Amino acid sequence: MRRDHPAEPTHRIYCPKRFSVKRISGNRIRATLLAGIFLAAGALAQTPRPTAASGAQRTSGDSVGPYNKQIVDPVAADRGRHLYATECVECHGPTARGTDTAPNLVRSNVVMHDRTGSELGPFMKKGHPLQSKTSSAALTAEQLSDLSHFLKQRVDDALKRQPMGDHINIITGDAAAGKAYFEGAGKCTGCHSLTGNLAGIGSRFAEPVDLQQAILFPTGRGRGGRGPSTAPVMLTVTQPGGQPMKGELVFLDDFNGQLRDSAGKLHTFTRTPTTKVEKTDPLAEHHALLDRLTDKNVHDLVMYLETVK
Amino acid sequence: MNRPRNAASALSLLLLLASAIYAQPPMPTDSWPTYNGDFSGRRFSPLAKINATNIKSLTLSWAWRLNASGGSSSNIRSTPLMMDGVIYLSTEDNAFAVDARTGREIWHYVWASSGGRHNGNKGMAMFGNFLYFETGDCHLVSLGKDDGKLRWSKTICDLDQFYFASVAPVVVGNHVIAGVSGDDTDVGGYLESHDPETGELQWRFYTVPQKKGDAGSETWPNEDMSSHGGGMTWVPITYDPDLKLIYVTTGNPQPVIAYANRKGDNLYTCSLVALNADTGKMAWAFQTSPHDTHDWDSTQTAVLFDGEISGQPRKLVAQAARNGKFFVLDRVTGKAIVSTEFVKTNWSLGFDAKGQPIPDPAKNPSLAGTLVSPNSGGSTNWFPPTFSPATGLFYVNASRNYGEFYLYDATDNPQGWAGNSQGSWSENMLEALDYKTGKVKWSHKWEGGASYGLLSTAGNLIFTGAPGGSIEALNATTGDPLWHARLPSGVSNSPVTWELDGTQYLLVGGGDTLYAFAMLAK
Repeated sequence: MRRDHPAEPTHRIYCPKRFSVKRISGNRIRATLLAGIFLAAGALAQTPRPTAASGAQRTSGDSVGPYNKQIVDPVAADRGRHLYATECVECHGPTARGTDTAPNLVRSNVVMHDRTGSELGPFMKKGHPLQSKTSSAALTAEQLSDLSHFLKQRVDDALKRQPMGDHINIITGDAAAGKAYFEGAGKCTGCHSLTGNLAGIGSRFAEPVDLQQAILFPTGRGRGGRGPSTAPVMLTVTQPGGQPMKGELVFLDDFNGQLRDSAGKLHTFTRTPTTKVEKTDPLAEHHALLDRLTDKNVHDLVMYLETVK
Repeated sequence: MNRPRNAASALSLLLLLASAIYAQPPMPTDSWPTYNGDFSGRRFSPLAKINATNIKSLTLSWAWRLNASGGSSSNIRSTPLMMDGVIYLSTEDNAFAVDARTGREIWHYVWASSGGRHNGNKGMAMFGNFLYFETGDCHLVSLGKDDGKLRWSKTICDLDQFYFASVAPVVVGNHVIAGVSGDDTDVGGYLESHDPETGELQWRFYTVPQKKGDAGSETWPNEDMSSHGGGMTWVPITYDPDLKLIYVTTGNPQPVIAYANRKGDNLYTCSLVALNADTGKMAWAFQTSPHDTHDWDSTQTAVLFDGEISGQPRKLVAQAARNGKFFVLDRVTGKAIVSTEFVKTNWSLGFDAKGQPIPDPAKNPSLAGTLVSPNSGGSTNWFPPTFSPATGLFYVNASRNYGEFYLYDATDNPQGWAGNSQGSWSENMLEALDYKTGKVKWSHKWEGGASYGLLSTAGNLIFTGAPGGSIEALNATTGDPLWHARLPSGVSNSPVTWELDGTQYLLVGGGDTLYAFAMLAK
């Protein structure tokens, strides 16, 4: 399935636009693609470049043993990028993910199994069309290694679970509708004020997506694990015949609990079916909001609050 | 007459009644020979020496700490096996035999790994004097049961394509059934059968069509997408020996979050598939998450039990899926009997005529973010549920949660994940579902996340890990918490039980330590 498909214009995301080889002349393609590939590389350079090994070690500590994958050499990959643009890109496309005329190299077993030319070499020796019409068997060991590093870099791109390159622009909403929701159905003004606790909210986050995450998940388990500071969950515990004990929730399970009183003292209690445990979560309204928010509400709110600088 | 005896006789009566209605053979009580204790996936033990009345006397008999290189090798995710008084346990790249009466180590085998993802080995299979387990670097390994010596190893997947292996194999008849894992790049899933003696490959079933014209290929745009379409098999299969059918549950399609280049239902990803055990040929399939775009692997255990629907005895299979839906099917035909939700979700527009959910396209991931319940972790996950024929209830540790799903690659040819779910809010509970309706009979709310496997017993008990680091027992009928013991590293695997020399033991792994609790009072 290969169709031209206009990239959505409002998003500053890494979206190499597909192109038709038939429509543009060869020289122009090469110039455009070379620029495109460089652009992509520039964008990617903003985030730490993963190596093949680090791609696999995405979750720290979940890979062990003598890992024999090829570590991408960025300098060699850069040389490989030039070679790719000169000899391969017209058929295999700017991201090496294939076109109507040639297969996806990111999924190629030759590329996956290759180590600095170990598989590409024998493959090219057999003869493979190149853009320059020269013999693929004449590619040197260094050229094959460079090409291998470039293609492994493309595999790394596919391994990433983060946005590639530029940050996503998630501001797509309607500020007026966001304001209406903030002041109306959202009931946000019950706790928040744009001149009080949300003063300058639109400038507080590195990225709009962080603001969006803070609206949705204010306990801070979102991006980067940082959320706005929030008041603690409070407990009121009453044992049968006893006085209520109040404090900040430290620990609670089916059999025990622990709270910290206003003087900072820890109290541990036994929890039985007759123990009355009341929890007051200052974010309860935020959690309840998740059941009511539409995606339009979310995008409108982000747009509106982004304007509060 | 004291009360425990009363309770015990009431329980035996309950069991007697249960066994009259349910024709399935009960799990053995003097061993734990497969990942789920038997082939059914019920994780229900007919043992009742430890029961809802006397459980407060349950006490620690021994604890054994494994000695491995750390990381996932030192974290017991797997379910141990037990036979003839010896426990067989695997962690990533390690296998152990431990005396079940004393907790003394008998042997320790270490596999020299060449890499791959190590995210938690789930256990071993046993056949006569042989053991089988998978390794992160794509091997199926067989050891001698008595000496822990390597017999053979077979490569079952390609590390270079970012596959890895972690599932517990299951031996059915003359077949070692082994699944594979991996969703870093776009590769196709499959299930393999190996000869238990020689390790030779007997058959391979691809969960996604390898070529145009293969079953399910009409639900993919082309052969390139379908053959790289995911559908990993990383949770142990269940098996009906009478029907000779294997029930395998399959993972998410690839690319995981982005979907522009895989229009269609993407069969047989996110599906429950019945296969002939001898040939690996598909008997039927039911897709629990058509065209998934949220990483909701449907790799939750397919639990086999016999029940009664509208007064008729039926052979059933049930699954509480990661996408929040609960299904009960006829396991002979694959026809749906119950299709419902076990937690509230916001991503579907009801069920189609086959009982499969209809995804709401408005809840697909988007560049600006889409608020979806559940998040990519799902409403439940790999950890095993349990079904008690004594209560007729299906139990699952469930989560109602939200995530914001972002698309990272808006081209028409995304690869890998190309998106993700970020942030989370959740409420978590142990649910007991009536299998005839899927209705929640009781729900016990947890004070935190509860990614724990379950065990039910004829003692009217449910055992589970609990937030806060405890192994906990609840009343299977009411959900009331009855007993707990806090472990230093919390619970990391699914509890199991057996009887040795007249004593019923409860075994649970917590980090690098296996704990054996026992009802020592007679």
